[in-house]
Amino acid sequence: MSQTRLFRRLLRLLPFDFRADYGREMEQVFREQQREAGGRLARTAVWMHAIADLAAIGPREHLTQLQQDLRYALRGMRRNPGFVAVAVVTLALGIGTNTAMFSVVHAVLLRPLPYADPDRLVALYNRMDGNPELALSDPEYLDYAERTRTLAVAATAVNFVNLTGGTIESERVLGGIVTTNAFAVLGVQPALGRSFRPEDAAPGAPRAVILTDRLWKRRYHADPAIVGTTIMVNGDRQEVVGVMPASFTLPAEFGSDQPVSMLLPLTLDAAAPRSRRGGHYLAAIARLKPGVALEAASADMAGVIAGLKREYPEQHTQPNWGILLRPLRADLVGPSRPILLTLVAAVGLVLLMTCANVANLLLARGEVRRRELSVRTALGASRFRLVRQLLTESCVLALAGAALGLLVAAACQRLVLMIDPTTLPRVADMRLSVPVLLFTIALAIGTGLVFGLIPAVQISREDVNEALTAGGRGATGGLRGRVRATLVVAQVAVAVALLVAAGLVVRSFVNLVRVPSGIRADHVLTMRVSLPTVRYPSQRDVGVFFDALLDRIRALPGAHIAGAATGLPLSVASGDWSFDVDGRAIEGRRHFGAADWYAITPGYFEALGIRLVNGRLPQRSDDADAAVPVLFLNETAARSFFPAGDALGQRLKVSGAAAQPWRTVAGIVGDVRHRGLDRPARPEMFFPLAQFRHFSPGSQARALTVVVRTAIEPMALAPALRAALREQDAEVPPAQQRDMTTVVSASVADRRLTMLLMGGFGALALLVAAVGVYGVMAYHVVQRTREMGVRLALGASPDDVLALVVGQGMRLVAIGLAIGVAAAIAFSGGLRQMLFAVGPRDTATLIAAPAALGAIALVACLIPARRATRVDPAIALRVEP
Amino acid sequence: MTKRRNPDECLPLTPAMFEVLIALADGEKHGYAVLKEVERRSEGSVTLSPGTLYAIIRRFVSDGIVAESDERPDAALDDERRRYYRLTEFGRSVACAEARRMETALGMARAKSLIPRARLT
Repeated sequence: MSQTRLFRRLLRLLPFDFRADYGREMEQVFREQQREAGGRLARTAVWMHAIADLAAIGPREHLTQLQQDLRYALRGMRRNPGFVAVAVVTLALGIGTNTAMFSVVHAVLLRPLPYADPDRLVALYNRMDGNPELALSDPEYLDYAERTRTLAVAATAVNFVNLTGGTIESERVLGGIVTTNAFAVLGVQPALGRSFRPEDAAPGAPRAVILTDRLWKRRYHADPAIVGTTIMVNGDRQEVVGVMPASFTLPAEFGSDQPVSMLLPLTLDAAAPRSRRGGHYLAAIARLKPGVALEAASADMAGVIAGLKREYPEQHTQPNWGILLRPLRADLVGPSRPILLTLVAAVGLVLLMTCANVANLLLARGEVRRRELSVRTALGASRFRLVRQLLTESCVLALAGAALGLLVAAACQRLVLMIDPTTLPRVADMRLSVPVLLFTIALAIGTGLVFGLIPAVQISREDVNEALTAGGRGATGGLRGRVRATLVVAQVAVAVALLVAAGLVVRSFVNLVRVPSGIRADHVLTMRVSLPTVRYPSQRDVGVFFDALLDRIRALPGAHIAGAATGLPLSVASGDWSFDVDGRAIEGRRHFGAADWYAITPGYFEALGIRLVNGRLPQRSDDADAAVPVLFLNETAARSFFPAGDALGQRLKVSGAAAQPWRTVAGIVGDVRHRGLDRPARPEMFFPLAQFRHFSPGSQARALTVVVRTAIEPMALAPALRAALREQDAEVPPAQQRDMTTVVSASVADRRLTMLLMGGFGALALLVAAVGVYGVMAYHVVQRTREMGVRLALGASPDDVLALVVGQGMRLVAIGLAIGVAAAIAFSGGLRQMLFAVGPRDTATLIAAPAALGAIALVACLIPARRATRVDPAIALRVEP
Repeated sequence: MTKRRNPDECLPLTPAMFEVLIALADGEKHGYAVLKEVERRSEGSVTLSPGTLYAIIRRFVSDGIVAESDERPDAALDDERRRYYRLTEFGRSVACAEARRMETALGMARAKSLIPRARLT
């Protein structure tokens, strides 16, 4: 490359105008300097000097020019406050909603997990046909952790614990139960004290707990002396050995609506026989050892499982039993990804529409500014200079819109937090943080360039002479009209596609909340009560406690009926147990069937309004001394296991343990959508609490939800309910006191959020499109005032003029609607995950959305069209064309 | 009719700017000639690079201190790619104002004995 060409490259550091004006001269001067310098050393010195010089001057000149452009832009904006207000508000809506969505995405998806080197962490599951993500049992965890050569495996579980003692009121909090190596695997350390040591988990060792920052601050007033003292957990004295930092989150907390308040060591008996491999409750997290790739670890675990299958063939009969390793980040935040990305796409489309709107406003304003810009061109401003000036103006508008948009974003964030969706883990940490603000600024500048570029290029293309001689609408006027028409069509198309999406999601939500849940949620108060083993060692003690407590509650004024169960519809579900039926063959299966189980007390079904289908409801006489133990089935269980309709009177026995009695089916109750309104009822069986027998300490029924049907507003009874519990046992804390409608509402919070967001975006799109159509038609009418005057003067009726204008506007709208509906049909399949009981190509929605938009667009056309009919021909004909 | 501009508004000038004005004071010159003149007169202590030189010229042209000259030298000596620049009336008054400002400053420095006699003789 020649020296001159190299220098020319260097000149690119300068603003375009500068180069255009003086570039060639500068090259020439540089050449002469080079020629005169002679020797190589001197020439190098000239080079060095020139480089340093341009590196210093380039940015300075750019800045100077930017300042000029900004001054000019601000002056122009001050002169047109109306235009600026419309543009800035439109942009604020577009940019604000996008900022809010980004802050959600940033909080949920983008932020690194709060662990050391989080990309080396994986979640570990048992995987088999029909159950791709099965948690681990104690022996499985021990075997996997001992045998793997590529992973360091830790296990965690969560369980509620009762905090009692001292002068502070008892309470029930969520405890994280972790293997002692969990701290090393996650790469976290307590902020105070120490982490667990292996001896903390030894059977019979003194109990140790670690508090989370939240509990430490709330219950213990951030007292650093707490470390080393003992507190009462589940009625047991336990030593606080540490306090976790505020940033700590147990992986199990992601997607849970309950924060973990303390950590307890998981005690596993490594010496126990490993052949009893049931009881899958452990969530396993593993760290890849240095230099090990995920694939190598998967291969290693495949080897481990192959060995275990040979050793325990009986316990691995499920087909294709293997191990699933998934990067922890994908495991924790992956499920919320598709919904978030859909929402991001929707809100991005809204922004594009606002861009089209503002571009149209700018184009219309460009008409007004033709003379001003032409004068500047005539005075020597280059086209590039004009484009830059216009783009600076649009960026200033966008930045102003972004500033206002931050308020919109804050409002949207508040809405999201109010709904508190559990499928968006970490969303509570969403802030208008530095990355979010940087995103907003980048978005504003990007937006400014997008909506500014078309008008800037169009306007700067003006023919100077034509504009200065106040000529009529030239060729460029027509072209600009076409550009505006295209923008309107695009806007309408995007709006209708968004509206269809919003309609589908809203319909899904309506369908969902209309699903009969199987319960009557009004006037029901609920409260979770969990009894510590120390005070209530046997299942019989638990039964006696709840009998007494419910009697106390039934005596409260305002309480109609009270009952309790180990579960609560739409909130607490349990797993299934398999069972056999007296006199029925199992035909090659291990057991006759399996159903979800719950222990219940009399009054439970009545309190929740669950109807009796056949037989009878539980009674007081269904106690431990009853001659015939009974159980109750839901309709689904009765229907699927006894299709002949002969469920009543059948004898069932829960399988696996000899201690279980035969129980007679005494009643069949209505189905309840226990696990979510969008999930069909599963077969369920209910045991009277007094007759409940457990298999192992882990399967005792000692945590029950009390449900009370009230004559008064449910929450008004809450203090009395707490008092009743306190009178029964002051050491047992109440938890999760909610009325049932809140429980139902919380179960659909995620869908409510997507519905509100999509609905909001749809409404916004409708508004923006209407404003867009109105703007273009209004401008169109003003431009053609003279033509309208001529038509009216020549005898056209006002109706003709109205039809002409509306026809022109609606033709654009119709094209947009057609494109939008086609796009909606093509892409709505992507929404499937958000839909319920409505297809992605739901005809009603595909008709209603364009109809609504068409109607609003018609109004938007009618307003300017009516103005056109009122044109006075005599005045119109005098107006300059 | 434009308002008569006050040259003091353009002050103070950077040394390089002032040098350029001095170089143009005795007639129009093209860019390279200005650069050489500045270098010669300052005995090499002020060396302008094309970037600095044209940034100054650009600013002066937009401020009306310097204008492109229509007069060109004899065709034999001329390179038509070159542009010649001259001081405008306003530019001359700016140069004078800057010189006066410097003179005043110099006088004050002298009155306070900041400039040793020896250097002046």
